[in-house]
Amino acid sequence: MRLLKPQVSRVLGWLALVAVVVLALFGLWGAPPDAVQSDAQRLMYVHVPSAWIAYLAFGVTALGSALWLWPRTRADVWDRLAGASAELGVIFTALTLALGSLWGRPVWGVWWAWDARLVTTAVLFFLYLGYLALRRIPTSPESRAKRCAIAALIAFVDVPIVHFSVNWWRTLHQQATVFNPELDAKIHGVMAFTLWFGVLTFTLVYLYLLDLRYRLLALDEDREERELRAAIAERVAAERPPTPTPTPADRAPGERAPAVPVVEVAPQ
Amino acid sequence: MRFAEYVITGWVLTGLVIGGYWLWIVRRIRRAERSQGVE
Repeated sequence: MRLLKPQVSRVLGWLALVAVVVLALFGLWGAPPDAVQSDAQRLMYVHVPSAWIAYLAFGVTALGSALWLWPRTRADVWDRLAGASAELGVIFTALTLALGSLWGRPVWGVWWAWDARLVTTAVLFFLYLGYLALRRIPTSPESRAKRCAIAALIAFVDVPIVHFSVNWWRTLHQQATVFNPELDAKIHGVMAFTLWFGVLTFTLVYLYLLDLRYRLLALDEDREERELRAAIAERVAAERPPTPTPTPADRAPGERAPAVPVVEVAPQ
Repeated sequence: MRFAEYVITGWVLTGLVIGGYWLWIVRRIRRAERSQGVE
């Protein structure tokens, strides 16, 4: 079971790889250094797309969960999609935090600050880490899908809080550059191109990895089901009582005893 | 390049995380497909 056709997945993988190389060329050499932050700002081309993918991944998880909970659209595919996307979201959130820390050290002078954006992002990371732990608790597939779908929808409440935290509170983290309240991107030229190209590149990487992770999840579920069936069959066979040997008392009146095989003994 | 240690670390970390995750999935898919084929 796959999300995409094998050929489409392969093309997507190669496109993502080429896009990563082009992004590295622009991000590390093509784009000019920032007037204030100098070259440290080059981390923006991976930090911002990582954060965007985390939002997208958790959005897909929430959508998949809602579609699973809705009786008319309930199908295993939505639960599997939610699980695969959540794992990618956790990885990209961790990457966002790590890259932000690396960027914060030369610019702010600290690796970490108890800032609203940073704290809400860390909360988001731990919320979805808990979601992934919930998926691993052994139970019936139906029960797991239901509790995970509810947990995913609750956890998603933190996503808009993370995004708007820089507007709602006075923070050390800069305000939104692209998706600001005026929707007026304060970034120009090659820098803007590189940032948008980074968002496109990471989206391609996300879609490619999502397809692979979905496939692995489907294969794992298939294996678990086969193992469960084999274990049940083994248990049933072990618990079946052995066939008793009939005694003369068990015989019905008039019934003859079963023929005893004649064994010929050779003379000494 | 100024702050090269931070910039290079960040970019290399990004590559390692994405590449490592891709490799982990691909190896597990191959293993799962092989075990499916054997049974």
